[in-house]
Amino acid sequence: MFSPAPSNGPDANPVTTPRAGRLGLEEAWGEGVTGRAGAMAFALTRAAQDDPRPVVMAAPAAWLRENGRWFRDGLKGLGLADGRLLLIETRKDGEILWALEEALKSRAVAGAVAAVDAVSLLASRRLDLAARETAAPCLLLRTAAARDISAARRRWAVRSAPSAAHPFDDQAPGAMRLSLALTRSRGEPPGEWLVEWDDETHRFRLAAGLADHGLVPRGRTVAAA
Amino acid sequence: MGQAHADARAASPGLVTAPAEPERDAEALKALALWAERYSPCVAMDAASPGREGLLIDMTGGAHLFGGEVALLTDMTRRLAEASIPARLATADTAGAAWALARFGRQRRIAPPGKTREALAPLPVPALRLAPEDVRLLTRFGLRTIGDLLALPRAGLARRFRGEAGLTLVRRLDQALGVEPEILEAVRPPPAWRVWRNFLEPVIDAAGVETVLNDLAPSLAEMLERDGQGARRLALTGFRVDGRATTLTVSLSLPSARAGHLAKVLKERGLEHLDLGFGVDAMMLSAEVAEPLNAVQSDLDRGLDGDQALALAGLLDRLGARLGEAAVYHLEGRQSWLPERSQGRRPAGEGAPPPAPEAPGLPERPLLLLDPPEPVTALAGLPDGPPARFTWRRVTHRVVRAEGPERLSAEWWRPARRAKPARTRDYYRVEDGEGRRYWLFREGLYGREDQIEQRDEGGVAEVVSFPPEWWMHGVFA
Repeated sequence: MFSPAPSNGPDANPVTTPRAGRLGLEEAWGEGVTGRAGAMAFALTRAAQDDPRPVVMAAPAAWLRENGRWFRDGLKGLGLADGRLLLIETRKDGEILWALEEALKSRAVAGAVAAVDAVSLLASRRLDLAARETAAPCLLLRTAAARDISAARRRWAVRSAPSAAHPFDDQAPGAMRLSLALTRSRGEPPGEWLVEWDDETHRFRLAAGLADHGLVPRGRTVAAA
Repeated sequence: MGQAHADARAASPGLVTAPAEPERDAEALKALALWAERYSPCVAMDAASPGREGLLIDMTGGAHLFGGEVALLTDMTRRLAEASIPARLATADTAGAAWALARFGRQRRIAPPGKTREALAPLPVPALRLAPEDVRLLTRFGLRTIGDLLALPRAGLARRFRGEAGLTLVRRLDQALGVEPEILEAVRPPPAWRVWRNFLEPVIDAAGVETVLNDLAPSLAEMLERDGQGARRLALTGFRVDGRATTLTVSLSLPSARAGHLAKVLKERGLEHLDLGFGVDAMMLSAEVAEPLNAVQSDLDRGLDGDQALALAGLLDRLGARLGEAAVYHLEGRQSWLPERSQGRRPAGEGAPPPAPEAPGLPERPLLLLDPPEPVTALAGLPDGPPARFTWRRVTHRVVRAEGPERLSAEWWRPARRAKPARTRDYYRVEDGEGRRYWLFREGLYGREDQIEQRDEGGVAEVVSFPPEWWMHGVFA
C-alpha cells in the first residue's frame, strides 16, 4: 500500500534528509524548557522546509503556560513569516491529535507539529498512517515525563548545546546550537549530531566540533573522550 | 387590569397572585417566536402592550403549504396544545385585523380575504390597539364597537380628539383595514436560502439529526448553487414538540455550496449541542449569510493554486467548528515595542495577515515568550551589567555568555494598571554553562528609577526605595 521509506545511501544523514526521506511520524523529546524550545525549532523547520504551504503547530494551553507562548519575532527568525504558521491552541490532548490528523488529511499543509504528553499507541499509529499517506512530515514534541510506547518511526532527543563565539563579540552567545540524538529509528543506526542554526539559509547545518576537526565521515560525530 | 393588589384581594380573598416578570415573559415569547418560524420565516413579536403580548406571523402566500387557513390554524392549535401553551389564533388580511380577531373574536376567527370590514365590525373598540384613555373617551361618546366607528365620516373622526389621539385612532383603523401598510419587524432576518423537513415521528437523538442533515444539505447546496451563492454562515434549526426552537450555527471561511462540506462542518460543530428536549418534529437548514461563489483564483504570490486554497479553507472550517473559532489563529504584528504587546492573534478564518513592514533589524528574539514574565533572583557583577548568575524556577544558572543591554522604555502614555509605575527595561540574552539560552530583563534603572513616592493615609508623601527587579521573559533554544 505504501512505498517504504526510500533507502538512503550509507552516507545519508537523518538530520538533513530531504523531504521525501521524512515519511512517517517522528518524535522529539526536549530536555527542560530550552530543550523543548529547541525541539520546537527543529520540528518546525523540518516540517516547513522545501514547501511553501503553511505549517500547523498545535499545543495545549497548559503547555503554553509552562513553556511560554509562541513569539512572533522569534519565529520569524526561523524563516516562518506570519502567514506560514497556523497555530492551534486546545484544552485537551485528544483534540490535538484529532486536529493534527485533520490537517494532514486535508493536504493543505506542508507539515504538522504538536506538543502532546499522552499519546496512545493507536492514536500515534493513525497519525503515522496519515503522515505517510499524504507524504507530509509530522512531529510530536513530548516531555521527558511520559516515556511510553508510540508508533513514531524516529525518536529524537534534543538538548541545547553551548554556542560558538559570536563572530563580532566574544562575550555574546553565538548562533543557536542543538545537540540531536537519534535514540530510536527503524532501519537506521542511532547517532548523535551537533547542529547549528544558519541565519542565511534558514536551516540547521552540521556544526564543526569544538576542536574544529571538520565533519566526521558519514555524518556522525565521534563522542569525544 | 389596572386594579390595585389590595383592592383585588378585598374583592376576592382567595385570589392567587404572582409578581409580574416582564423579562421572563419577553424571553418566553422570543422562544416561541423562533419556534413559530416553522410556519413562516417572518415572525414578529408584539410586546408593545404589556399583558397582551402576542406573535404576528406573515403567512402571505404560505397558507396553502399547510392545507389552507383552516388546516393551518388547526395544526397550530394542536401543536401548541400538545406543548400546553395556551393560545388564541386568528388569520386575516392584515396584521391589525388578525390581532383584533385573536383577542376579541367570538367564534369565527378566520376573516376570509376581502371580508375584513365585516369581520371587524362586531368587535369592541379596544380591539384597535388603542390606549386605555382613548377607549374610555370613545365609550363616553357611545362608540362601543368598531362598526360604530366605521359608520362615522372619516374626516370628522380625527378632529373629535385632541392632539395625537385622533391621528392614532384613524391610523389604527386604516391599518386594520389594510389601507395603510404595516411593516412587521421579524425577530430574525428571514434567510433567503432555506430547506425544510417535517417528520411524522419526532427525532430525539443526534444520530437522527445527522440523517436529516445528510438529507437537507444537498437540497440547500443545490439551491445555493443555482443562485451562484455560497454559504458563509449556516444555521440548523430544530423545532421542538414543546414549542421551542433549538439552533446550531457555524461560520465558514470561504463561501461554499458543496453539500458534503456543509454537512461535515455542522457535524464537527457537534450535533449533540442541539437541545432536542422531547424531540423535534421539523428541521430547517438555512444559509444565514451567503456570498457570491466566485471561481477561486490562483494565489500566485504564495504558490497556492485554487484547490490548495479550498482545501485549506475546508480544514479551517472543520478545526474552527470543533475547537472554536478563536483556537485556530495566525500571529500578527501590533504597534508596540514591548514584546508582550507587539503581537496579537488573528483568527485563521479571517485569512492570513497582510505582510507587515519589515522591522528594522531587531536583535535576536526568543521563540517562546513567558507572559507574564516570571520573577528571577539574579546577581550581577556590576549594578547595571548583565547577570553573573540567576535563579529561575528553583534552578540556579551560571551565565557564561551575555549580550546586552537592549533598552526598551516603558510606555508612559498608557494609563498604569498597577499601583507601581512601569519602568525602563534592560534586556539581556544570556547563555549558561550548558548552552541554555534565556531572555532576561532588569526593570528599573539605578539612580533614576529606584525610588518611588508613596502617600500614606494622611496624604504625607514619603520616598521609598524601589530597587530594580529581574524578570525572565523568554526562552531561546
